[in-house]
Amino acid sequence: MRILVTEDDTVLRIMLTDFLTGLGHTVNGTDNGAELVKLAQSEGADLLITDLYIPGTGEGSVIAMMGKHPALEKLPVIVITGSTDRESAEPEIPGVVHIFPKPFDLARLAEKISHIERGLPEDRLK
Amino acid sequence: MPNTAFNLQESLKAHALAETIAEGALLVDDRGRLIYSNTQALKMLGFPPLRPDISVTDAIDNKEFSRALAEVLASEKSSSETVITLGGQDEGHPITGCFRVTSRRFFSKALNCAGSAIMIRDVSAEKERDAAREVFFQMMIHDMRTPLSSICGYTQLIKNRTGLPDDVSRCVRIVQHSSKRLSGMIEDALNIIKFNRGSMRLQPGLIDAGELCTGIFEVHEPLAARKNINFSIQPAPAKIEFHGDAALIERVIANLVDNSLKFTPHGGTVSVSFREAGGETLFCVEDNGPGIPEDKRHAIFEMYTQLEEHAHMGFGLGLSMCKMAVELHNGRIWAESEKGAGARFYFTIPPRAALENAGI
Repeated sequence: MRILVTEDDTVLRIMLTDFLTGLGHTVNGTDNGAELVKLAQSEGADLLITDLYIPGTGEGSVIAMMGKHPALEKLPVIVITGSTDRESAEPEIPGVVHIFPKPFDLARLAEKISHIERGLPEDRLK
Repeated sequence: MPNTAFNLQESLKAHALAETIAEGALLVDDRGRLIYSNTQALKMLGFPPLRPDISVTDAIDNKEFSRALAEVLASEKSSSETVITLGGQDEGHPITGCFRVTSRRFFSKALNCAGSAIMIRDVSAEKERDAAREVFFQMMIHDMRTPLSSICGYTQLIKNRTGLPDDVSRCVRIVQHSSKRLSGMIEDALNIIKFNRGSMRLQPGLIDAGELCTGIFEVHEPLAARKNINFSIQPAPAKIEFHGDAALIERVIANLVDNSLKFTPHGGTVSVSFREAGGETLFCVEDNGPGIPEDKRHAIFEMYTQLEEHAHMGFGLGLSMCKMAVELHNGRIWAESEKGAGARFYFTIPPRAALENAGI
């Protein structure tokens, strides 16, 4: 699967890239919203794994910019967030399949990606 | 000195004191009429047209102050307190800010009457400091979660590798266990902020009590093993499922287990059990540590409270978080103990219907 990773913490982004590459996925990572749009257009993607707030979205959050770019609008999204408010990331937002509060369990992330890959019904809250 | 002159001088001293303090001070009799007020209180209340036939609360234009005074005066307790925030000019009243209104019952032989002494204190600066501290705390925790994700992630990646030497595997397990405990502490700190703000919302679901406890056992077992503590989950006769917020209930049990493991000496015993009791789910974490003195069994659930002998072992937030989490489920939490013969911490989670009736 082609996975885009947006996370402005370099170490965490590299860790995710290492992990997902190890699972056999093709991973492109970036730390900002503008680059995310470019990567989605040039490399294509099947899944976006993203922090909720990253620089260069111009919209406040990555989710808010999703609907405005054709290369992003139909992508399933997994949000990873350090937000301290359980309600701040709305799981009802179209495209968001799951929200992982940081720190998250890699096995559960792999499981969620596997569900998406197999086109299983989205289980948004578990 | 003649009595009259002495009394006059004492009155002047009391008046000087009342006029010097920053708080508004009022004496109100049992029928709600003003006996005495310092100038600061009159300023805060907008110099209401006080008359002997009108109660103080009726005379005040400012609705918030009027409501706050009525609330503390109506209290049947010997003392009561409320906090109000005045957001702007309320019907021409120029006072803004946050005020703590406290009331204490009195009976004066000299005045031959009973009533309430009311103090009104401007706590706006304290509130601002608290808010700034909370924002700082929240930002710091937010920033800690990202590097912690990297630590947890890389630890998992290393652990998944095959052929690691035994000593490396042992080190990795310790890092993983410690980072999980750190994650739990961060969760607790955030939960306490949300409980205190009143913004905590339960995310209820069906929970398998056995699975939940097994997960907690796996995280805490290495710590028990290091102290040679016999740590166990007592199996229930049948599968027990209940409704609740899994993340919060997990933190409650984890905190109770953490405490027991911390205070139980080497070679001791800690066990977790659960069962159905009167329609509720009852959990118990039991140890054979030093126990809790009887006079501390309620206080330990209050924030920043610790037994003196444990003053160096954390901030005393864990049990208060447990209490807030259990009570948000409409459950109860308590401790039983015989000094020197261990402690048993119990908590209950009521059935789903009770959660729904409480609007959860």
